[in-house]
Amino acid sequence: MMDEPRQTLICSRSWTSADSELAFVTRSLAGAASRHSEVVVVVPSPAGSITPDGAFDLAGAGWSGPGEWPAAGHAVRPAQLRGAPTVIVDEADAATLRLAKELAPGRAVAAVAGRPAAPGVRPLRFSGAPEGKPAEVIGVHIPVNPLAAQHRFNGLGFTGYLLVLSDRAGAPEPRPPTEMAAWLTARFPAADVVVIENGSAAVWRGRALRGEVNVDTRTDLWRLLAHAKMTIDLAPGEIVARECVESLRFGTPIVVPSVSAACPHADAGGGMSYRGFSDLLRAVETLGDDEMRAGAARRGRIYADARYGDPVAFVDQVARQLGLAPAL
Amino acid sequence: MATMAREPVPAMKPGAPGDEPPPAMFDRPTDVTDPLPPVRGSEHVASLHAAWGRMAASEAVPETSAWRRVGRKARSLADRGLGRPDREVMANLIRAVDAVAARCDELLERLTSQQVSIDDMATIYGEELTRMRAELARVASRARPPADDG
Repeated sequence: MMDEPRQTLICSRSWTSADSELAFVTRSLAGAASRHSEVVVVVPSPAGSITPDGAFDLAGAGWSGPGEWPAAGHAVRPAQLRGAPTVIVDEADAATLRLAKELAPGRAVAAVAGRPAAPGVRPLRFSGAPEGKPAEVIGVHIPVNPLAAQHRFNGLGFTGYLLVLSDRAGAPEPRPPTEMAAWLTARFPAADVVVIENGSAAVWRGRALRGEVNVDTRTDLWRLLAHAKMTIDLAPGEIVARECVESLRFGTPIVVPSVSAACPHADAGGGMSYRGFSDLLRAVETLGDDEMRAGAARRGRIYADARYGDPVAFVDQVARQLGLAPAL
Repeated sequence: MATMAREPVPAMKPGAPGDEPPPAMFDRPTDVTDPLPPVRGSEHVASLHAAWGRMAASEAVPETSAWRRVGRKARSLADRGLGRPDREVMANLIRAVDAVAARCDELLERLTSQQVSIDDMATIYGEELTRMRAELARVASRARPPADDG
């Protein structure tokens, strides 16, 4: 009698969030896990419901409202879930952990985010090398289209700008710019400072707003990253700093906050980190030197491609970290 | 087509007390605009001179016949009587236009020079002041006692 294939249970509230790094990483994990096991994805939706979503069918275990897990004791185990699956949650919050315990009692839980982790929860790591143990980091595959580097972004008639990924939430007016962008255009008046915010690119030079264009797609962002002199990410993603990795894969060095998931990428040689505005200005001035920038670009690309550019290695790392059976 | 998918960041935290406020932005760029063409060489002034030149050339041909001289004098008197501009008035008018054009060109040159100076000042002083503020902030943070986490 053949053994039943292993299963991986993924409990995710963020799965359908199109603009979330948490959703991106969770989906990538699901894809990698599917190479070694059958993946069951559970999202907040009516019990027993099945919603097709590309490669996966999203199973409902019940809900107490849109985006909310069912109340304690009211979760319904999806019919396709059996045995003792490997369990992954996107966020290790109390409600998600309770659901995981109800659907797979007694099973260890791995979490994508939500530190500090609750007892019995194993946080997965996607950035940095904790205490010199790079093997514990999962190099989630972050794809880019290298063709984006062949042509600059159509909305701008120039390249070699300072690309700033904003740290402002909501839909603020482009004028005045976020504080760090104001410091940059004041300190480097001859430089084009392109601020990405709320789906648009605002161009500043000499402390004056020169224009604004829409940035609609991921490919638009890749073109902007590929043709920038450097990328200054004021608020990198908290799990893997995806845009910083993409920038490095295009050979564009990064400048990032010193306390962020992106700092290990900079520390690996792909750029510099800063603590306040004076550090930021000094970092940009340093990377403004052609030789320094070329070195950071070269090191950053090697690092990013090696760690985050290999889908086969990513699948193997997931299998190893989660204890999934290797493919026959 | 994938959306830009930039993670919505949490609301920016308010700055700590003593944080440097960011530099103010300009409402308009200080760039030097493209220079205007000089007025003296413009099409209208050139046409005026050309027309005057033709008039002067036609009247420079000496009248050999007395009848022709009398005819010219009669036409001049008739023109004056009918209020048409006298040659001398026209000449003065053209000289005045030339003077105004010369003054406009001189003012244009001074204004352009001022624009260049303003742009230079805004750029150089702005950059140096920002650099100084950054250095002062760095020195101040080193001089500040470390935060007591105990």
